[in-house]
Amino acid sequence: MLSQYGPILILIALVLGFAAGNLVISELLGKKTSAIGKADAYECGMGSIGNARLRLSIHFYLVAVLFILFDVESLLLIPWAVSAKFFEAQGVGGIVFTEIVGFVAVLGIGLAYVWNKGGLSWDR
Amino acid sequence: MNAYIEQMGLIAPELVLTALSLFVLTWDLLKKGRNSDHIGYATLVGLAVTGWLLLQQWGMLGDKGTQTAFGMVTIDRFGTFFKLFTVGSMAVVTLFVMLDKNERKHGIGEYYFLLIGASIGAFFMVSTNNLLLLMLGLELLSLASYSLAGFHKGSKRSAEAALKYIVFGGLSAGVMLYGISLLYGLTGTLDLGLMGHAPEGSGAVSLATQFDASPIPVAIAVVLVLAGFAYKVSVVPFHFWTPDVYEGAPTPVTTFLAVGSKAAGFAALLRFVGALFLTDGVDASIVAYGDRIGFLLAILAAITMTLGNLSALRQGSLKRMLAYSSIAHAGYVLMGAASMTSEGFAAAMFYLAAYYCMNLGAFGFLIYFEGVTGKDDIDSLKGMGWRHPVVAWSMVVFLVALTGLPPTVGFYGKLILFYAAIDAGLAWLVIIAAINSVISLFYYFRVAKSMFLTEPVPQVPMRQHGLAGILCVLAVVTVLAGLGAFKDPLRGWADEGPASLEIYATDAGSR
Amino acid sequence: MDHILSWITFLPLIGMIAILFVPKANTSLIKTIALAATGLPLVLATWLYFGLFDKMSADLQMVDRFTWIAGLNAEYYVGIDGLSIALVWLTALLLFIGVPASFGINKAQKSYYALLLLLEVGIFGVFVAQDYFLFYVFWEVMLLPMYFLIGIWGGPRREYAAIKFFLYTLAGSVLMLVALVALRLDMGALIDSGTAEVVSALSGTEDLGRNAYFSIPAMTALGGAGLLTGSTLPFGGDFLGMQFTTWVFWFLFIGFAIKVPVFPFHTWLPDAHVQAPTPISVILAGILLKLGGYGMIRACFPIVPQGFDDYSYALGVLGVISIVYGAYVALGQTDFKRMVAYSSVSHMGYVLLGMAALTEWGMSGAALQMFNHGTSAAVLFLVVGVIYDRAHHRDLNGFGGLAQVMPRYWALTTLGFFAALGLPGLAGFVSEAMTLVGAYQSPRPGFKLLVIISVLGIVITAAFLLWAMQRVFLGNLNPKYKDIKDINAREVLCQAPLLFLCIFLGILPHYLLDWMRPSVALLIQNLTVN
Repeated sequence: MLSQYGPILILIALVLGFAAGNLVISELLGKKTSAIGKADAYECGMGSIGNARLRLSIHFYLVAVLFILFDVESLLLIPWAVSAKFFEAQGVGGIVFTEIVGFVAVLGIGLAYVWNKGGLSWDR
Repeated sequence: MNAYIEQMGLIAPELVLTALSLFVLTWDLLKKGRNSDHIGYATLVGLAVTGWLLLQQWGMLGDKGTQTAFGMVTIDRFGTFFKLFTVGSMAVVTLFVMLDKNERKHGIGEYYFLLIGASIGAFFMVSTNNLLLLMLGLELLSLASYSLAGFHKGSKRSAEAALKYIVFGGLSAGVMLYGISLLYGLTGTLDLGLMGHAPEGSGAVSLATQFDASPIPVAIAVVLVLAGFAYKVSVVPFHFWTPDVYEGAPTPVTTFLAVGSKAAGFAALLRFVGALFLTDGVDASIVAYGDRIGFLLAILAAITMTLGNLSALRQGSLKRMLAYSSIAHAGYVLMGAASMTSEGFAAAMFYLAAYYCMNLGAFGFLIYFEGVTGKDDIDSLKGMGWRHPVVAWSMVVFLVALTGLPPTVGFYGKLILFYAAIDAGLAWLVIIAAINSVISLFYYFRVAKSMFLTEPVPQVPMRQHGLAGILCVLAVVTVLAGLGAFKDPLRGWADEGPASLEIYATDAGSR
Repeated sequence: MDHILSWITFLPLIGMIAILFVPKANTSLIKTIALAATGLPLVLATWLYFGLFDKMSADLQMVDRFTWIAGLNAEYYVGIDGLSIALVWLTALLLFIGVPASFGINKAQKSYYALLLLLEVGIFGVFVAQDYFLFYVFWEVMLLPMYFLIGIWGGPRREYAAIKFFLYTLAGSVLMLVALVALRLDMGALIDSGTAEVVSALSGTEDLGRNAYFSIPAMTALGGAGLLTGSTLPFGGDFLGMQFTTWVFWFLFIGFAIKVPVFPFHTWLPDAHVQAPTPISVILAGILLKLGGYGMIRACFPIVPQGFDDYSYALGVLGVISIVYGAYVALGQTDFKRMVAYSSVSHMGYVLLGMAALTEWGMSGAALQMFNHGTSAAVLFLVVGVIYDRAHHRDLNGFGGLAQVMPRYWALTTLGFFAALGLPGLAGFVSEAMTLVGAYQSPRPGFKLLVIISVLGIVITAAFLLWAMQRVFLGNLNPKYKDIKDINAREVLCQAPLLFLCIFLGILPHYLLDWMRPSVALLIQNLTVN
């Protein structure tokens, strides 16, 4: 019974060994410097001590959201491209191509809208 | 090739709406925020075309529906009924936006764009048997609604409304998705038809089979999905967002939330419940379970209408009062779903249609009144009846209809709901609903009292003929439809809706 | 004349629509239209009463019938028989009197007369409707104008009185609605089943072969045959341990009893009466209360005779409580109008007692009492209106000796009071005596005791009316009112026809009884459970 868990045990040992080994190696071989910043916990570039209700520029979110939006939408092009041949064989290649052109056009209108409203310029 | 175009033709109304939304957005961009009324007119034209297409579709459909887009989209009279009313209410809401004195007159192209987007969401939500597309439609509707609720960026109330709405909405969407994922895990399909009855070789397991094996996970999944719908139609205990969002959102948006969004939610709810437990061909072993779900809905209906009405009693703001009243009305409509019969579903559909008429009217009155006084509390209505008699009497018609008194469509709707419920053995629920309409009289007629019974206070004598005209027409429709005028088409349509619900197992199974 | 009932019913509606198009300032034209729109139905009703109506028949007459809302199997079905014809005529008369009686009202006259006419449509509609759906629609149509008439033109506490009236009546009518929905479902299933029993029960009516699920005659026929028991409903004729017929009976009865009003549902009445303007009080007491009594014998008892049979003694007890309690409370009032309002509760108690007894005398007496109370109560409210217009208060103790300065007014008032307290020779005596004798004759146990108790009511009624007369008219003249004007010609003209009826029907009551006799006989036959 228990022997079935053997591989897991080995895995745990390997993981712990790897982590501990790395720490030991860097302690032995690494160059030692010390600074205040270095002792801090690393939090995505934010200061780890201070008011949690920190204000960020709205553009930060806006750009992030826009990026995700266009990124995910253009991802759709990949499955389309993969299956385009199949549709071609079915004899509906033209329609399917028109559809994807329409889709890209919608994206284009969206981009124009965002651009025009100033969503892409940081200064406004 | 032609078959493809034909299939596309089935979703022509949706395509027109999509094109319209893009057109509206682009035009507003090109006009650089000058007068937006033209965009309103363009929206109206687009909606008219959509409505015309839907009517054509209604005629072509016949008793049975059809499917397109690999079974993702189901076009039947049930869905088309709701689409027609969504378009109708959208048109009225568009007019409200154009006539709203408290709204900017320029640079509000997004307003129309978001409204159209919301109705596209509603369209797909009511015309699919597939839970995935249903969820997508619901989310599209919701996202547009969140932005619309916060459309008045400068107003704290509006921002609060949007935030509350999105938090509640996100939560309930999560709950619902969890339910859907459980259903998918249990049955191996997202198609409601296959869940109801899975033929050999379809690769799916019908819900009935799973229910016989392990009832509790099925129950949990169904209840979770129902909770998502309950949020959308603001059924207690998922109603908390309603008064705050309704109050904070711009009033035309509130109108859309109370009318279009709620009806779409009910349509999806009815289709879900119908496909799993009611439609012909559903596996017999789960129908009995459907009765228990019906009982659950009956209890929710009783609580919802009672709580909605009691809360409405103490409201000082007309807008909040209407919000609570819309909760109460959700309870009435739920009676139809709870009866778990086609008659009950038809009654719910008819009541929703009635609810369109009277609530559009009541909210239109609110917009008029806000335009005149800039306030929305009932006490400020004093003397309205003497200064704006046409509008005020129209409002009395809507109040009478909302209370459910003859000779209005509100009474007619309530009557057939009562039939369906008593016929389904829910006499106790009918008695509760009847008592509730007495309670509701008290707060509805506080408005009438304020308008007519108290001495007038000085007001700016301003008239809005356009809005007054719309209200008049709605009032006349409310009465005529209640008298069953012109061979009672509304009732006929509503009756044909549930009949068109069916299982598309053959189409779906061949995939 | 074809469609005479529809004409009578909808002429006021035409008048109302006409008024809506008259400019607000042109009050004389508005009043003229209102007079015409109430006068023409009166003419038609009189013609109907003496000319067209066949008083030897118990059948429905002047029937208009066609399918209205097919989806509900509801019909537009109007007709008239001996039970309703007198009340239709009384409605026409009182509404016609109501218009000149309202000439003193100066506030928003256009809306006032329009609402008054709408109210008339509702009242006529209830009296002539033979389809329960139609009946219910008209029943509710009355509420709205009444609410506004009390609420806008009423006294200081009009808002409270108006909403109280509305809430009470609506509470009753939603119960009616629930019963109605259940009845309709049962009717539908029975008629669709088409069994031999159903066919034979319907064979005497015009409903055979028509899918009129709301038809009141059809309900009466099936109810009389003992078929309308709810056995086709999901709960199979038995709901929460009580029979379907019992539920339906009580739901319908309470709906109508609130309107009558029967103790303990009467508390809206004094408020509504006191706050309403005089003409509206007249219509309220004269007609609207009768709707309750009429509804019971038309659309409650015959449909569920079993329920009536089971609980008739309870109804008799409620009637007696209303008689004695109403009179006793009236005795304690200092407000003239409130006193009259409570006297209405007392007088309408006779109606319930007479009906509960289920004898021919009792039932005829009840029908007669409804008519007679319609005239005498109307007179009393007009009397109160006259003094209120002059003195601007109604405190019975605040007058005194008015007989010296207002002799004509005193004479008319005396006549009205005597008619109300049932002086022999006047109309009230005949009907009250008939109900009491009818109740005494009743073979059912216990009714003799009820009659004996209710005689107490007559004594108290005489007491409070005579005491009121003494306080207002006799004694030393209150110096405040030494210059008060006597009753004017318009006010006399309003009261005169009603007082004439009080005397005339006191001497020749068969001018009503002959018309209702066949219908009453049929009603009693329908109500007798084998």
